Amino acid sequence: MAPLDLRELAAELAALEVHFEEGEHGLLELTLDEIISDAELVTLEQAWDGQAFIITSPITQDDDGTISIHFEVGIFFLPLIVFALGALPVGLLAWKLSKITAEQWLRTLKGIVIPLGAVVIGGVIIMAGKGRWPSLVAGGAAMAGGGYFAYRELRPVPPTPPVPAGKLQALREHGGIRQPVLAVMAM
Amino acid sequence: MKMYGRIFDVPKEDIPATQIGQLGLISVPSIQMTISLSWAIRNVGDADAHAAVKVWVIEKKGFPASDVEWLVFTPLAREGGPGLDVDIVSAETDIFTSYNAPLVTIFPGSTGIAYTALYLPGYDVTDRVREFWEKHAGASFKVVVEVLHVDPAGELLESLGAHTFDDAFRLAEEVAMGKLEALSSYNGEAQPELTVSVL
Repeated sequence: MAPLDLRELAAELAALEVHFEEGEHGLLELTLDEIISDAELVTLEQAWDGQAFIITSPITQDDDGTISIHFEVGIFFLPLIVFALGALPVGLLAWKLSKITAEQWLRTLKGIVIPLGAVVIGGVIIMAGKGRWPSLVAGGAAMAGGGYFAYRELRPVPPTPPVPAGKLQALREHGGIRQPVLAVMAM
Repeated sequence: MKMYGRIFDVPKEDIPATQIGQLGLISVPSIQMTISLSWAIRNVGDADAHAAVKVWVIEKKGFPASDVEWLVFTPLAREGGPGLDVDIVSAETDIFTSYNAPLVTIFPGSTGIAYTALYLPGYDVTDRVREFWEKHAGASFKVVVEVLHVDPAGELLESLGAHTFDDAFRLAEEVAMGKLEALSSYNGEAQPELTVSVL
């Protein structure tokens, strides 16, 4: 038996003339002439995995040669929404960045870069998981962690009470003598 | 006995308005050269403050890019404390350049004098020092001074100002020799005198 490939399965899907929406579940049944091995079933599963359709349970084959593929159409708009929500705090942090003093730069850099990285990682997790709920939870947790870190680093610090400080001025004249004074002597 | 004189010469017309004090003094004989810089500092704050003076002594070679740093003294805290970052004199003579550069504490509302004095070995200290000064006869120098606000540990807080004495001093082309003469009379008295006293 020639190995099955995705194009063959896609052709079967097209023949069904069924349109799926994102997030919907479906069942594809293919009838083969012979019983294929478990390894070939795994190969078939791997050919599907990584595509738009997510296999939700192991592929099985009945005694009559019918292969049942339970699948789910990946949710792609959800990661985009979450990504946008993740970008919102980053934008707010950038706005805050414009208001900080130079002394806070290092702290702010941590507060910006690390949350931004967390948002990107969270987005990657969600995209890699094709919007499945576990990936949403993991990616969302990464983003939330980034947001908390940003809050911790950039939250307003209570002003410290002013400490008396000396303030020096270099004078240009003192006691009728212009300053500074250079004396060179040899003795 | 040999006597030496006029090792350093500072032309009057080259003295900037801010450059005052005893300049170009004749020394007979010279055992030490002192370069002293001071700057009056006022504390307009509400707490004690500390000031110190950083100094560069630079030989002028005609072009700023070719100038040679002879001495660079920094009063800032660092490993081993303040000191000379550059000291061409001790490098060529094996005689260390000493300095006096206290951390000056200035009370609120008062004025203090921050200063640094550098002491170089004079002409008569050793033969190597003499060769050193003769080798550099005629050299011209500028002196740069920067006054610093530092914390009690000597860490830099702020630079308060800097000034360049562009024509600070010049080494004479040659060492003038003293010439002695035995007088035959002095204040109306014949010379030499012999005094014999009995008490």
